[in-house]
Amino acid sequence: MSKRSYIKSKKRVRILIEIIMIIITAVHLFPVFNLVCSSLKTSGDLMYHPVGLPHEIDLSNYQVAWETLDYLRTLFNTTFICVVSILLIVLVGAFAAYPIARYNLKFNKVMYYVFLALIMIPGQAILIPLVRMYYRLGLVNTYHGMVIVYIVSAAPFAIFLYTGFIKTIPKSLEESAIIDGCGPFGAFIRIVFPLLKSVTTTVIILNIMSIWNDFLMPMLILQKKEMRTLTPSIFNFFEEFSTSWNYAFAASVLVMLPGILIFLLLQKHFVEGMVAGSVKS
Amino acid sequence: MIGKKRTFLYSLLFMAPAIILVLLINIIPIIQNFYFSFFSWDILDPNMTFVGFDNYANFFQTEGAAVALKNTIIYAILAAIFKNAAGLLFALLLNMGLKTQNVLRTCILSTTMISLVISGFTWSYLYHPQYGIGYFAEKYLGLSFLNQDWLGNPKLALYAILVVSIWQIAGKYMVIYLAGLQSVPKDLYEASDIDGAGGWTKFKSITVPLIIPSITVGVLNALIQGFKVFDEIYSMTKGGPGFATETLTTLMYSQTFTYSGKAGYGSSISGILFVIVLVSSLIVSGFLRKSEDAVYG
Repeated sequence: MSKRSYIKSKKRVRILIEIIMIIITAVHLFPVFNLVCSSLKTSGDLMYHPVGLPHEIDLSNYQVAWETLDYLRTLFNTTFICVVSILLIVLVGAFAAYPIARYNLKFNKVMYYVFLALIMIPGQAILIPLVRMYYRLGLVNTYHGMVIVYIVSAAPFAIFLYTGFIKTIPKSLEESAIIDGCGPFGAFIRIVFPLLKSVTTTVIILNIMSIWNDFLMPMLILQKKEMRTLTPSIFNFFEEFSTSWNYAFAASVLVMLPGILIFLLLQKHFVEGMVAGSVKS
Repeated sequence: MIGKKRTFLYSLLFMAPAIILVLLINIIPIIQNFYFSFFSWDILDPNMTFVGFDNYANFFQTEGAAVALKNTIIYAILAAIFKNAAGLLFALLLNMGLKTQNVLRTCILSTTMISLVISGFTWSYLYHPQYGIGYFAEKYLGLSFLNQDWLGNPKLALYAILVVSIWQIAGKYMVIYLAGLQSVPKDLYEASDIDGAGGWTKFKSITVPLIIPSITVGVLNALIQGFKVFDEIYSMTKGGPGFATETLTTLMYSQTFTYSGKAGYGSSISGILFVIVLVSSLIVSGFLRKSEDAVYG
């Protein structure tokens, strides 16, 4: 084979692979495409043409779904819990990591290993006592109750990420600030914390991914309808409308949409976050 | 600069919120869980009866428990294999410099932000014997083997659910492997080109050994997630038909929150799951670390 025809055949293989990958990706997205199409069909249309494009676009499914889900309220609950939890995870995590990274004390070392060990613990191992405790302390159906669960489950890993990063920042920066009369808190908040942007982004992304679509915990802790978050409320919707697929499809699209938008907006950070976060195990 | 006592005080202040929260809501419940598993009690009732090791000794006597244990292990192992295989395959094919590669990566990755509950619902419809794609595959393409009651058949349901969870998460594993592939130096491939190595040889003797750290991370992630599987099963079959897709977490959930007086039994399932996750992740990470040492040694 001459060199030119070798290159040509290599090019052909590449085009073939590209076509195959486009087809695979289309197949991968088909369930989502079908979900959106079905959400626009009337129940009759759906019955006779369960798969494929709608014959005429019908938005009434969305109206029913919007009202039954109490969509804006549910969306607000989810967003509020997610934002507050992540803010506090960042603060609690970064603050706890600072002395571990900076002060060489036995106590700090021990605490670091305690936090590391807690990363390994599956959430299910504390689920039952936690729910019992929540009932007794009246933390069920409260925002702060839900936020506390998320802080506790995410803080150990955030501490691990922050500790590793703070260790790479030269000490001299804070030392000069302390000489200038800053206390350790001032030095941390003014000098160190602003340098932690990249880890903070990772922590934020990782927790958006785990909190936004969380199912079991909010289902158990936020049982009142006006407290519900998106994922448990769509589950309840399916239970209620198990035979009205058209409504359930529209509700699914509504619930899925904000998550997809967050992903598309923060796509680049998602990729970085997933890589940094995958060292978890 | 500052004395040891002062440093300790500052450390304590910095860590106070984390220590208080983690102690109260993480460490105490872990200990409580083991303690509660020796009692017979109900989630809404403060009274408890001590029953010793009964909850553990009678583990298999509850209907569905043996199946749940078996399903959990099968599911976790298959998930670890196929999620990583799918992720690696996507990563390799979308790292070749194709023109549409960035768009395709985004598309594959986008499903990771769809909750497993919605994924489960969407796929339940596609799996439906009357409306689903199986029916159309038989009608128009003659592929009658595809027309099954995927979720209603006890032999198929668990695997049908596994497919959904692979579909949803494959993009995340692709990202893990894409990061791993970036760390493989390009000149190694060039050198092997000169030696006349084929694609498979290059993959086997250059790519795989150098991405073992990614494999470790990917396998452990998928395995642990697999042991904890709940969302997709609960939203698609709730453990049915019969107990065909029951896993430890669905069993724990139904025993604790839908039956009365079984919270102690639920705690014992949590305890068993905890031990399984810990032991298996230690074994797997030890095994993978050994192969890592063999390469980087």
